[in-house]
Amino acid sequence: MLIFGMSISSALFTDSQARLYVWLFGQPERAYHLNELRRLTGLGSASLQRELNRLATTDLVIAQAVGNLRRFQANPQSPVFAELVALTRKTLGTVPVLREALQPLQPGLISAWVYGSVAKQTDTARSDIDVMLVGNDLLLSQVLASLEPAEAQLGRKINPSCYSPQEFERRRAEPDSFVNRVLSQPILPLIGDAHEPT
Amino acid sequence: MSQPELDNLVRIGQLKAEPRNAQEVTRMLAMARTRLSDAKLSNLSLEGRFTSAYNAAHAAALAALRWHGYRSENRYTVFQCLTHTLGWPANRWRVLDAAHQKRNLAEYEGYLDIEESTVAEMCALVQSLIADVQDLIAK
Repeated sequence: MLIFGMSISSALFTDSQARLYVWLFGQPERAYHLNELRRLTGLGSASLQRELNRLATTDLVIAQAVGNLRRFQANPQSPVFAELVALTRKTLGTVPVLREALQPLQPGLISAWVYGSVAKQTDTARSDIDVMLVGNDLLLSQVLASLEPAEAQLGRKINPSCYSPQEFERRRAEPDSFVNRVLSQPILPLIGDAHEPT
Repeated sequence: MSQPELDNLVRIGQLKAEPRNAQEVTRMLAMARTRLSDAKLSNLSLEGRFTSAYNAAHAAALAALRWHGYRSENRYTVFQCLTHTLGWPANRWRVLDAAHQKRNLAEYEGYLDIEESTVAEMCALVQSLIADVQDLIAK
């Protein structure tokens, strides 16, 4: 199964690495049990063990024994920790995963961006991802269906709000609208041009 | 008609079991139809039409739950249970749940930016919801 398509991530990482890194280096503060990683990555035991052994023997990941279970966590003492976390977030994190998921909605979808706690970087692993979309004939039910794989991959709920271009422009003209409040705060552009607050 | 998934929700306190009351189900469905016709009145405000469509959705979804012999005061649960009561996929009932969240946001923050396209999608969805509940109770 090709999850990530032709992208920077597939040039840099094998499919197994991509599935594993998005958890280990995408949420580096979190420690995982082996079974948990097997469930989250969908990898078979053998390939998961192989990847984990490579990461553990080079100290990129700490393997900690808790009773008879082992817990794995990104090693913050590793000399390339910060780079790996940044590379993972930029290539496998929220933005690239959402971009990929929204591709099939184009050309009807004109622009889309993340707002709220994820865009402000005040999110926790449990925060929802808020996405605003502008396009012609967008149906929320279709958008939700397109985003389902991204929700599974990122392990978070995604809350889309849809606007037609006319509706969006009308809200832009109202200084106190929800749209303008969103645009006056940090956003992460996904599709199309970023909008400036009025 | 008892269902294992719904019985599990009773066990964890998300749902209550309550025997089916056919008249209650019919009343709720009639209320859903009335609210849906209100939602289609183009001379009303978009906010009013949105609220009517939302109330129609809740009444119809609750009618399905009551037909199966359950009840919930939690609106999210009522919509979520459409997966089991009518076999609805998540992307459809989540539109109704999103309307619920929008309504809550309006109450807490005073924002109720309702768009024509949102009301149109809600009305189409509620129309098919009512038809599905009608099929269910006609069985």
